[in-house]
Amino acid sequence: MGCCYSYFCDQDSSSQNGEPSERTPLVNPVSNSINNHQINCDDYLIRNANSLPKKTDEQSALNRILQETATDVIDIAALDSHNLQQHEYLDRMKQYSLKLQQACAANKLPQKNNKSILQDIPQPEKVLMTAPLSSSDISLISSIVNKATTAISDIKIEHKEELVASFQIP
Amino acid sequence: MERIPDQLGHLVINEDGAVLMSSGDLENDEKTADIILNLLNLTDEIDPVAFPSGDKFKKLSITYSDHCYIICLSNRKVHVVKKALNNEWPSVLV
Repeated sequence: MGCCYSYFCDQDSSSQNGEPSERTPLVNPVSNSINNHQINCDDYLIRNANSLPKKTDEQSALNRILQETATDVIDIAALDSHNLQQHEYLDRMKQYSLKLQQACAANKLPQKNNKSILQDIPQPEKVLMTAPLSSSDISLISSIVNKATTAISDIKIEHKEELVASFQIP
Repeated sequence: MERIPDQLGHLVINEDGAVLMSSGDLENDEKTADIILNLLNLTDEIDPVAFPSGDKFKKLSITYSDHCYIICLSNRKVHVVKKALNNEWPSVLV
């Protein structure tokens, strides 16, 4: 709360020294082109009451209101209007991946290993264009798999010795 | 990809399982993409007794009675093509 409040009040001495404190504003309206001069509300009212109701005064009063509003309202969108260019994206991408690699190496994190039964091939079209498995291959595979299934289902355990061995304990 | 004969659809999946390109029967088919990626990542070891050279496979075929999927890996992307089959085989083979 202190940060928000401090923005609308006169800067206290600690924040003027450049030292961040609990009263330092979170967002510094640096890019605000309008003069940052703060006008105390009370001062403004007194000045306005004493002045004569001339047109120029009216104009300056309106200007002052405009100025005050511009000073009090923080335009977040205008603060960061710098758009990233394509090469900046690429630069940042390189920088981040380098940092990531350094961090991984420092913490001895395992690199993402390529856990796949397929190997990387240069021309996928070439492989994908090939004809599907021939019917003779399919029948060969089916018959072998069927034989293997039959063989596995035929596995039996033959009882040879006594499962419980009696030790000669006196 | 479109030049591949008898194709019913195709998919290109990245390493994280996101569908990069798709068409035909496999258009935006994230379920199939997920299943295929899981199938490829089941193991990183191929039986060294059966394949002592330690090579990996170039393609994986999943064959059904009337259609099949042909899967290969290129440039760290998984390419899947679904093809129609003319022969009638009442079996499912991987």
